[in-house]
Amino acid sequence: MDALFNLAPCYCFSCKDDGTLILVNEKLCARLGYSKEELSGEKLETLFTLPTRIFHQTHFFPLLHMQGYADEIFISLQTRAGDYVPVLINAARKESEEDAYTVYVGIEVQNRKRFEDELIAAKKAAEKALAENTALIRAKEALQEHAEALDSQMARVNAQHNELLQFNKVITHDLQEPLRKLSVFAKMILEGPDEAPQKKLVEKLLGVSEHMRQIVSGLQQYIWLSEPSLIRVDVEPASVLLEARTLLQAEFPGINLVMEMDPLPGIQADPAQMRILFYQLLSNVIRFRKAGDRAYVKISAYSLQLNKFRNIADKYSYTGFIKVELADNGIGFNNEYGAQVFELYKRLHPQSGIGIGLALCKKIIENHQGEISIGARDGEGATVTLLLPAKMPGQEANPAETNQNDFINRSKLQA
Amino acid sequence: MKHKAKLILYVDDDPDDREFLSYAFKTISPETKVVLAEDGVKALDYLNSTEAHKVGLPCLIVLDLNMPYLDGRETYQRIQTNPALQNIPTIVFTSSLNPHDKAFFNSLGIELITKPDNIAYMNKIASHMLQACA
Repeated sequence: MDALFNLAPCYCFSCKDDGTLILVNEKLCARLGYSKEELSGEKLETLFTLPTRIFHQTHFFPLLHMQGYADEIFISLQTRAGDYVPVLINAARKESEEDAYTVYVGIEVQNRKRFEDELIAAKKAAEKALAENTALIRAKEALQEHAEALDSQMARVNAQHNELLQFNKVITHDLQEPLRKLSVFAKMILEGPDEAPQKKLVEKLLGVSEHMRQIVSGLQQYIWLSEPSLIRVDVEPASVLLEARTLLQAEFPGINLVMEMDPLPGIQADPAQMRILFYQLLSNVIRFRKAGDRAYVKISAYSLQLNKFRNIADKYSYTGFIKVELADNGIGFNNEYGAQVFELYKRLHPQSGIGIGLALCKKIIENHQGEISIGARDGEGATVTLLLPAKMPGQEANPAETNQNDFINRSKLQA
Repeated sequence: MKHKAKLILYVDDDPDDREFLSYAFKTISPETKVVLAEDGVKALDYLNSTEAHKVGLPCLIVLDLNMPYLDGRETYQRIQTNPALQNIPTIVFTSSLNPHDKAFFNSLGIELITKPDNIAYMNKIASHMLQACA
């Protein structure tokens, strides 16, 4: 039995309950650098590292005492020189009438320990990579948000630059011309042959000052629309159009404005600005109708997804828009000059208006990160196309209704 | 040839200015014929039609700057693309104080006259313009 114990290709040792070693096999003695004699009568702790001693006292031994055996326990033995030897132990405790002893059998797990360490290191590395990946995703999301903010800031800067150019044109030309005229007519009155001023000249003078008043008030409206206080709520374009039609019918009593309207999807917009937008567009339908008392417009719309990015190339973020088309059968214009109609005080039909309506519409659409374009043929009507942000999904029935009521109440307050 | 009546094309969308300047031409040089055009498109239509009919090209084009459809600058550039028209002297007559306009036409050697705020100066301007008539 002892021979087998000694020859076993594993580490074997036994001890009494008081910790006195009974036997230590040759393989273990050789590994730890002791002779059999040196260990005889020594305490079990001699073989253990300090942490293993504590572990043995607090866990290992109580477990043996309780259930009589313990399997696959990982402990560290200590050589005479103080090196650690990781070992996996199975132990069994035998109780007899006069005495009790425990037999320990173990194998060295130097490699297994290394594999385990590697496994733990790999797991830690994987966790770190995952954390970094999460951080990367977060950084990417933040970058996208910044890019979107940058894109809308670029749009704003472009819009402001265009506005400055427009204001410059208004100051250097649109206002200069009537100012000069005021002076021309006033001097003609003063230096005229008659003592009493000519009625025709005074009328011209009044006409010019009225024109200036309109330019200045139009400019005020335009600047008011440049203020960044935009409200975004769900708006039903159909109700805004019907409301605008009612206002216009009162303003142009003899004219019948016929509106053929498809079902229009909801948009997300500033209600007060939408009122101005659709009022101006419908007023153009009336003012630029063909001879007669009937103005006609067909309004249709559909939803689509468009890239939010307008200024930064190679960036994509798709979002819902509503494309609204207002096609009239009025006098139209030569499409070659279509871009000019959105400039302040540019008129293609000098007989009507001062040329602010579509400039205001463009400003409103830009405020909503939308688009406006106009196509026309001389004598064959014009079609205005609008792109406006779609109503947020998931708010179908009630919220929209509430917002609509809010909008009507606010409109009443403003009126 | 010397006695042939001068022909001036005046392009301006402002009816008052058209009246003032053509009245001034009539006052100081009754034999001068003034053709009026309300905007650049109509001016080009006229120039192309006269060219076609060989009635005779104007000896001077007076151009306002801010006009609907084609502004003065665009009208000038389009005239310049036609070899038959590009040698007609041009004078810009505007109330614009825009320095970019001034710089643009000065660089081309084109005279830019600011519209006066007293029509008493209109005759002086008209006679100055007549001198530019080729």
